[in-house]
Amino acid sequence: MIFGIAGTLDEAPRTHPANFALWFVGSGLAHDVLLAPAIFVLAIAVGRAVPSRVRPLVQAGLIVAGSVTIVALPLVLGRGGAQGNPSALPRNYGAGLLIVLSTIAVVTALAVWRRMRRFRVSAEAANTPNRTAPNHRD
Amino acid sequence: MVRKVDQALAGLWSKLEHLRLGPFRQGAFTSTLHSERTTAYLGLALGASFFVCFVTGLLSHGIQQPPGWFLWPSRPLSLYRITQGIHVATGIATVPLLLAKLWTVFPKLFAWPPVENIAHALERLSLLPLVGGSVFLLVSGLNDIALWYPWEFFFPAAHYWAAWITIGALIVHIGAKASIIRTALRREKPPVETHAAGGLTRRGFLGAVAASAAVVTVSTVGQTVWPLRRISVLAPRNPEVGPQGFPVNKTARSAGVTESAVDPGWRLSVEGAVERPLSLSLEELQALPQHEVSLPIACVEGWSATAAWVGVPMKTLLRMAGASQEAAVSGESLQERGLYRRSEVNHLHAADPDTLVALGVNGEPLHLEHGFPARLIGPNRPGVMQTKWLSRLVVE
Repeated sequence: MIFGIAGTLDEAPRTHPANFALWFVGSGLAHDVLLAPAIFVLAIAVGRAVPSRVRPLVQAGLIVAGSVTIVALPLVLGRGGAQGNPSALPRNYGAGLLIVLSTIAVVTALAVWRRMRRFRVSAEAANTPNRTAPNHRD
Repeated sequence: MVRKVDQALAGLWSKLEHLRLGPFRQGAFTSTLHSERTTAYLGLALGASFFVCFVTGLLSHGIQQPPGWFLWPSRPLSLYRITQGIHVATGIATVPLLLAKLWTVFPKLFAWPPVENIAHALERLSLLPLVGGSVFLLVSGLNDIALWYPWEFFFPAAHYWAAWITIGALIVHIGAKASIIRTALRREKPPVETHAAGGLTRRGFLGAVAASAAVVTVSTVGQTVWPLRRISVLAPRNPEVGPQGFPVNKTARSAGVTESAVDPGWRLSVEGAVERPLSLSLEELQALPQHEVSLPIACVEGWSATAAWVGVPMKTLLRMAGASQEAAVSGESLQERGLYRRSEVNHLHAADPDTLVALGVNGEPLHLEHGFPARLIGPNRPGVMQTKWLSRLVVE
């Protein structure tokens, strides 16, 4: 750690230690103060709005979707490239992100639909006079 | 003395008990996923990914700024494209891992009492460089491959030194948590993994995190892994898109060479520790025996593309100039300013028959954006060191 700090200060003209420290500390702060609380708020919302039997699926879908969005953010916000270099960032990243998110949404929706159907079928079977309904975990 | 401080602290916290609101409340965080076992698993994965990134990153740095004892070989010709491809891909995959780990331990941010004793305080403080550093490395890395630099520092230097700070903090962290990790992983798994409020089980959570890592990887790694180049809709480069069929990083305009490169008076000079300094025009270079070789351009940003290069081997020029066959060479560009206007070719690379002063690529003379009239190209070298718009070779 000391080696890293010494090196940062040593190469000060390149590392701009004040700005570096701002970004270094700021990154941790941004996560703790902005991102993590936002995730918790979302988690609470999902806990309230989504029925418990499909909640794990929706949570999983959101975890994957959120991860991809974060990775794609610098590309979509697109402040880079494009300075006369069409081979840098050549794709439409907004569209690309939408494609990935839609795929995740469709897969999650299918899984949710399957699970709700299975529950409905089991519930109907349990309500019939024939009490040999299979054990289902819910 | 220490015990007095501890007692004073304990007294203080009991007086402030009424401040224990919101997330500081006992039992504020209800998810069973905030467990030491889940954290330990994610920690193992993160330890592995940070280790891989550190080693590959250190290597990339060492090749560009070699310490005196370090001699990077010219073979295998594709080694750098692999190590740097791994560096970037692993970094991207680490994003969901880190976020998941930070989520599982987030309740600890609100631990009560906040400071139990000096040792506890130090342990908590040591997390600042760890969390800050890890997030900084990933954020700066993502921004770099997106070519977005909303800061003042020079990215390679800042990223490099932040890595040392973070690895140091990580080692301290692993040391502090070693016994907890051991017990957490050893404890017998509960037989039925259900969550009281109907949320993800541990297996489901870890599975979702693994799936996230897989999805972000497949969406981006096509810039390095050729067969996936069309599938990776979020890859910052497509390795087949660009003039003459592969990407450009530094443009001629941004290097300031749009006039000097097309000047008919351009000459490549070979000077330094030589018996016969040379000054060759493009036609004279083209008249020399040409060598053709397929080599990748492997960028520090992780993407790579192979092209068929034609040019004069550096060995030939060194021989013509009467230089030692053990000499190292410095290649300089027409580009007047910038760290990368010059690159070192160590003696292993200079003697390699496939290290060329390239004049043409993929069947055509070099495009201006790819370094017309001549550029350095050699096996197993980072893209930034394949100097474009060569003007001088200085033998050392």
